[in-house]
Amino acid sequence: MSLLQTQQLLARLYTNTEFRERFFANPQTVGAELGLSDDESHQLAQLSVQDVNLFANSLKWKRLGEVRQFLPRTHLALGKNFNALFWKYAESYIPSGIKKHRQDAIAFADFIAKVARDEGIEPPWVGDLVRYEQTWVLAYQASIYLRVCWFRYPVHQPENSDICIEKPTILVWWRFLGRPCLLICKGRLPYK
Amino acid sequence: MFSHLPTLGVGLGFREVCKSDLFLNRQQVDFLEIVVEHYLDVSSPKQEELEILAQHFPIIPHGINLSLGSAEGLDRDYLRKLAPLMNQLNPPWWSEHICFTRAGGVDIGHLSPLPYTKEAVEVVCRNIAEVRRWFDVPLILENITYMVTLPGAEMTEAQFLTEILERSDCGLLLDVTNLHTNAVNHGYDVLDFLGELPSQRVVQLHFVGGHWYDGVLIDSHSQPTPTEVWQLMAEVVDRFPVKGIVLERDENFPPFGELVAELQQARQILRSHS
Repeated sequence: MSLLQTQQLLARLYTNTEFRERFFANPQTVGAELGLSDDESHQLAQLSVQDVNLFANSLKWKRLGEVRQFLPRTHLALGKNFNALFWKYAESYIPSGIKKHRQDAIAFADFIAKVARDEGIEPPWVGDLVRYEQTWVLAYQASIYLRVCWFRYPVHQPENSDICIEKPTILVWWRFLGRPCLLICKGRLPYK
Repeated sequence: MFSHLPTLGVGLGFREVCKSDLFLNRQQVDFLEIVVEHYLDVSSPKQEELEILAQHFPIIPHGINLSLGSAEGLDRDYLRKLAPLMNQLNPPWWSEHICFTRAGGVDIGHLSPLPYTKEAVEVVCRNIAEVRRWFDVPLILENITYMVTLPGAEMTEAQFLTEILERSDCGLLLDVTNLHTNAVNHGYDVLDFLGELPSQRVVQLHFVGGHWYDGVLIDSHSQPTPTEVWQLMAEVVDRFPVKGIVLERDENFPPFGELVAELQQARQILRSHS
């Protein structure tokens, strides 16, 4: 088995739970599907399931640690549910490239916003908060940026405890080429 | 061989959260190691940050995602972005890991071990030769930690590292914490390991502390350096002509004074043992 084939298989074992479970349940069959000989499959079956699972989980914990830094207030607001949601999300998406952690945070924010919208999670303002943090992440990676967002809650307030009462708010992110900081203009809709 | 490289002393792996404290304690830090991926394809504030750092400290670039062990070859787009950074910094050396991080379109997201085979040695050396066609800054290679032992090894880990270093004419960035972690998790003797390394190629060290999880020592860069690693560092500095030592803390940051105390302890070891 060439190094190229070995690495392709290892990359899938490390990052794909369903593939990993299938392979270790029946290495000969999965190996044959991948074009490996019985000897090659037998050699790879010597990998320790426990070690591979530990490494695979450590990859997710590493991603989670990085993503948490991009979405600190959402993490605070969701508590342990942040980790549970990330575990569910991480099965379906693997970021890549130099800015993969940022990309991961943006995609995870989309996932949380969708769950908040479709299933409803506590606190009720977390969907707004994660969109707010996601917009900052997007704004930071662009040289020129303009975005107007509407929120049901005043998520620009610095403390999570200040945003729990509905107060419809419009926020504008604005960044020009060459300017080292972001500007934020705040406006409010009339109270309901 | 690497004796012409400057002695840099004791430095810190730069992380943005430490920026203010770093400048308040400039005299305590001889040089900085930056993660190159943090400065590739970045906005102007990040570029300015790098320029300011370079004005105040010698900078050593440290790569994470080049994937020197990838049998499918290197990512040219990555190299295209890395080359200008090297030209801008013109460092005395730079470092990467002996590992692979991507294959078959999957970015694994972490440093993954290579099988200790002749084919893997060939692949790493071929990829390093390609890197040198882009820029010729001296390259030192780091030993990684690994949780998975790959079957089919044709040599020991130390023999594998040595073969790559000799054939590619690279220096070694010996992460003493990684060495300690692997020795604990895989049950080998660190002194035997050190005895197999090419002594004149050891250029730089990394150190930090990890944590225990379910009976396994995890290289999390999240704890103070343990006694065993300090002892190993002293042993290594006794044996090899080390040019620089870097504290590589990434998580669970303590007050900066505690990092400074660790730098002082490493400096003391460097002075008394070299």
